[in-house]
Amino acid sequence: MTALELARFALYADLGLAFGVPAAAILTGARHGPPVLRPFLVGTAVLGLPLSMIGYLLLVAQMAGTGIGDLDWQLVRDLTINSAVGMAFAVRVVVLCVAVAIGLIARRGQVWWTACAGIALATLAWSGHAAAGEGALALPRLGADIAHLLASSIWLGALVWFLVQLWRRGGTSNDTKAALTRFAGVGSVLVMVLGATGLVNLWFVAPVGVWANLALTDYGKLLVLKLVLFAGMLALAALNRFVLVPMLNSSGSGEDARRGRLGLRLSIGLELCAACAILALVASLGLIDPGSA
Amino acid sequence: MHFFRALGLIALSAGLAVAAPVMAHTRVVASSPAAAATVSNVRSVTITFNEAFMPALSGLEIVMTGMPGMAGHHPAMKMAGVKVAPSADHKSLVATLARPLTAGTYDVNWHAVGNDTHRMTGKVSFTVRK
Repeated sequence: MTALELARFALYADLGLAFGVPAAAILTGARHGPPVLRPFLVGTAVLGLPLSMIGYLLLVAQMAGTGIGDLDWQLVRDLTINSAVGMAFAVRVVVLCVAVAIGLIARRGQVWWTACAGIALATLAWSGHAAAGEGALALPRLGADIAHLLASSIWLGALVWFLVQLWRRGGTSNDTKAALTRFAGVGSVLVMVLGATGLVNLWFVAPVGVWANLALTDYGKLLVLKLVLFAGMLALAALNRFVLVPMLNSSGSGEDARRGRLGLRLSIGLELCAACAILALVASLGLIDPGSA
Repeated sequence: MHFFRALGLIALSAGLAVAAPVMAHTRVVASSPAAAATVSNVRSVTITFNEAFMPALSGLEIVMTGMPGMAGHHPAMKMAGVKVAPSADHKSLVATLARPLTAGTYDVNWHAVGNDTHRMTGKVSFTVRK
């Protein structure tokens, strides 16, 4: 991995969690947000600031064809003011600062916090292929990419949010069981959004007729790997939904519930590993030219 | 309704584009002089791309790679006095030369960054005859 890929991976993961964890908590019924997560969430927003700076400088250096040490600061300033990717960076820094302020001051600012983190995450759409659209299709293309980013982050956030609860001492609370059950519906919507927007994004990168050829390029191989991992996550999610969560909820002997809980820890842990691998692939995919073998 | 209209547009464009090659990143679609052409009296060089680029990050240099009668012995020489400016739509780089190019072979080494933030480089070669 190059430094730029590493920075992109860190940004996707960090901002994905900053938005995804509270969004998943809200969607599965945690009304006023998880107080245990507040320091963690503020931490992701704080960390997002230096990560954004480093990522942006590495990106400008890549675009200028120089090392990060030889950066022309005039150029950095020009781009921040005059280019879409620079504006996206500036907006990200501002909303992250607002998110940190909300996290530190407001007691019940979870929805506002989540909105700020969501905007910060959405700005990442401008640093990849989706920003290349022109004319009437520029906005639908960015929109599809942003929807893809948000939906995948909610999934990622849900994995972390559930793992935290399943590892908490003192058994699984009824709230956790209710949240896991409620995620069945949320998860189905997320999968549909991810599938639809993923297809749209691929359409924009390569027309349907060349998809078979695309699979032979470096870009295509990584994409196929990503889809395989996605299919694995889907299988684990189905296992959770149809086997493990009902087991956890079973009112019979405590043994079933215990096994369901252990199974969920393992299964969601594996799902999280696959999600991390996908983020690493995305960090590279956004930098690869789909047009070259 | 907007959503369905957008979907329709997307489906339509995807359908239209079925036969097209993969379109991503900045590529050369035309140049003057054309690639591999033999021309005379060259006072400017234009490279046109498939998409708008960021002017601050895009440019070109013209390098003389060979002179008549000096085959294989001529070191590449970067031409001085070349003014490069982007066109109004930011899709073309226009290089204006202080005087016409002398006979020889030339490479135009270009670099361009589109809105997708990827730096692309390449060259267009042509020959100038007397």
